[in-house]
Amino acid sequence: MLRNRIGLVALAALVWCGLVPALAVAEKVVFWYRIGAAEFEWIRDDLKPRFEAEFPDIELEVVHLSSSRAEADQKILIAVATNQHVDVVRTNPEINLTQYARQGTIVPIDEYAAQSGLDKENYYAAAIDMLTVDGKLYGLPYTALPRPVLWYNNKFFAGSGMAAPSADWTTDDWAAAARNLRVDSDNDGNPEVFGTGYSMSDVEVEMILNGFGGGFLSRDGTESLADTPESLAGAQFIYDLIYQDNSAPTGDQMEGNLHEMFGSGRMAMNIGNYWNRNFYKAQMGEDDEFRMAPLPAGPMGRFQQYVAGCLSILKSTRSPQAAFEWIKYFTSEEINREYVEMGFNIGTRPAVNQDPQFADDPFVQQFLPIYEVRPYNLPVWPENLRRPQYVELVRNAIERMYVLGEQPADVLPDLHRDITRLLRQRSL
Amino acid sequence: MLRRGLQREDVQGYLFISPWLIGVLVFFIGPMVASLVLSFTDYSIIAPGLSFLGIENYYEIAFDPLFWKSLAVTAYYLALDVPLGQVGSLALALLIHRQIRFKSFFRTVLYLPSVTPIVAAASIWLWFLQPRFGLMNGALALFGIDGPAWLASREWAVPGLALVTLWGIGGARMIIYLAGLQGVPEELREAARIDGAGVWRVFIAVTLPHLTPTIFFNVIIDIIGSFQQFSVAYIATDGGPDNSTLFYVLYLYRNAFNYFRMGYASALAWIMLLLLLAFTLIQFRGARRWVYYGGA
Repeated sequence: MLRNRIGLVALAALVWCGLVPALAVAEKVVFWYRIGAAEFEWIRDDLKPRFEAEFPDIELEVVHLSSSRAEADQKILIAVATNQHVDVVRTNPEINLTQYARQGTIVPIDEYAAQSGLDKENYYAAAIDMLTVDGKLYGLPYTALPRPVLWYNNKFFAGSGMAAPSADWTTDDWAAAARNLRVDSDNDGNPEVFGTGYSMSDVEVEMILNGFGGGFLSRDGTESLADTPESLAGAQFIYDLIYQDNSAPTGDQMEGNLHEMFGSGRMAMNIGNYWNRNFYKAQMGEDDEFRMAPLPAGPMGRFQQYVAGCLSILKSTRSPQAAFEWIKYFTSEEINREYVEMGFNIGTRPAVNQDPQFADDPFVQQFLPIYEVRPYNLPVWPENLRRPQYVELVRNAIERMYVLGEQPADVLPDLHRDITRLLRQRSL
Repeated sequence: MLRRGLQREDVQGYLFISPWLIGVLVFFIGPMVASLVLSFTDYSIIAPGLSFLGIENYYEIAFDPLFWKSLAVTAYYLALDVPLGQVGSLALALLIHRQIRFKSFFRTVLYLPSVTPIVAAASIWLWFLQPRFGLMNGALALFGIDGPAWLASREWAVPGLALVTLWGIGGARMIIYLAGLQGVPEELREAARIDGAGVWRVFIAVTLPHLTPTIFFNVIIDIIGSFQQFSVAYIATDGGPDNSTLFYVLYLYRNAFNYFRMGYASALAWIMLLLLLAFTLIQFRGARRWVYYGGA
């Protein structure tokens, strides 16, 4: 009898010894991130160990998705459809957040935010607004900024005695400066230095078209504006920089991409974004004088889209509370300050960007006035318009005009017809 | 006398082939039937549920300019790749078939491009065909030729991609031709030579007729393969410039996995199957006139 009892106690002890470690296994948070390699390495090698040290009950798995937005979207949507274990993903309010929220791909975080005492006032209000869909908060931002900007190499402006781009510049000033800064000493039509670059991005070209009163899609998302006279004027403006003034490179004159040409000193100005700074620094070195200014205003004013990078919790999460802890940690003031220090992007909190430690950072200081530019509210994205399909059409039109040299008057009616056809598709 | 019902040996036989049968049913016939059904729906993977659309997807395809564009691009590529690939790989097989020194070495070297990963090959060819600094235009410049923009040009992008795939002509096609050449009776060639036929005459009158079954097989496989071309365009041009390299399968892929229009993509897949079936049937019909099966 006693032997049996001892046996039972021993068995219970064994089971307990086996159970305790099993119960103590950390909650796993799977984080899918889509961004450049340097940022990913910082998260994996530096942030992850620190986060796990601070939250010993949470194990973080960081997975680098493709740097292509379309491919990342594809993987995220398939992960949700197949109920794959993914907790946190990067979302873009201006691109996919609203659609993800309405489809139920991501979940609201208000409950966790309230429980943790998170103060939304610490973030830029515009960024929080962008993450709020139908009154619910769907993520937290780690960067938020207006795009695009006009990058310029001050060496060329100082050398020619011209005034550098400023916040009161118009598209006419931009075109005139580009003509003056173009250098073609042997007059062979292939300049050694181009006055300016342009953009091949659908969003950025649309911002320029907005400045002329046009665009690709109406603000309410119901119709194409691609063939309006205003859109044609905007598209023609960029076309003329390339094919009339030859102050921007044609497709045949392109060496690498436009950012590489600007970075290698073959271009005086270029359309880009804050996040190009590390690339330009690596290309030009610390001493070169490259600066940024707001996008020049068109005849109808200046339009810059407010964009944000943020983290959201996916529907297929296994541990929403642990997932929220990671989001909160990643977007905290301390980590956001490091993020800005690394030069990846501008911060998402006024307290970080205006911190005295960045008083000597020329990029942060140049960018702060750009924040003052009126952000253009996001258009309503039609539910039946599949963004990748739309982007494919717009990029193809941009390529036809600016790389292949087709007249905007020939290209834009085709684009109008194609967007109109897409708008007739049924909803997802 | 016929036996009725399944015998012990039949059951054993079916058991032995059951892994293959299950594989075909689950991974081949099942998805095929599913895709046929889905081609009549608006299935998208990501949205819950689906609606039956009847022939709406097929109707939309008929008026989809990109469908016709992708079909034209694929046909153009096929017209370049199949004849050049067949002639090139047959020529290489004839060279390798001769009794020459270092035969094994040449055979290995010629086969190497076809085992190079397509991603690596396409990336290297991107630089090779770069309009301003690429080796191809550099080489053409030596002869005073101003090379085209290749993959950056609407007119030259498909020929450029055909060059990338033709780089691998020393692969499976050449090996099959080599096997075919080894099956040509040597005594017939010898008899022709004794009768005074030269090298060219022997090739036309003896070797080529015996090779026609091999040519027929290679052409069918090649047409199917070229119609399914995807990876090189996906890596090197992503369908550009201006959709000039938008191959049929690339367009199908975009609809399925970028736009999540699975029903539409399934309809595209079935149209492709029907087109290939029609092509193959026409070739089988025509084959009676030119394929020689040794008096069979």
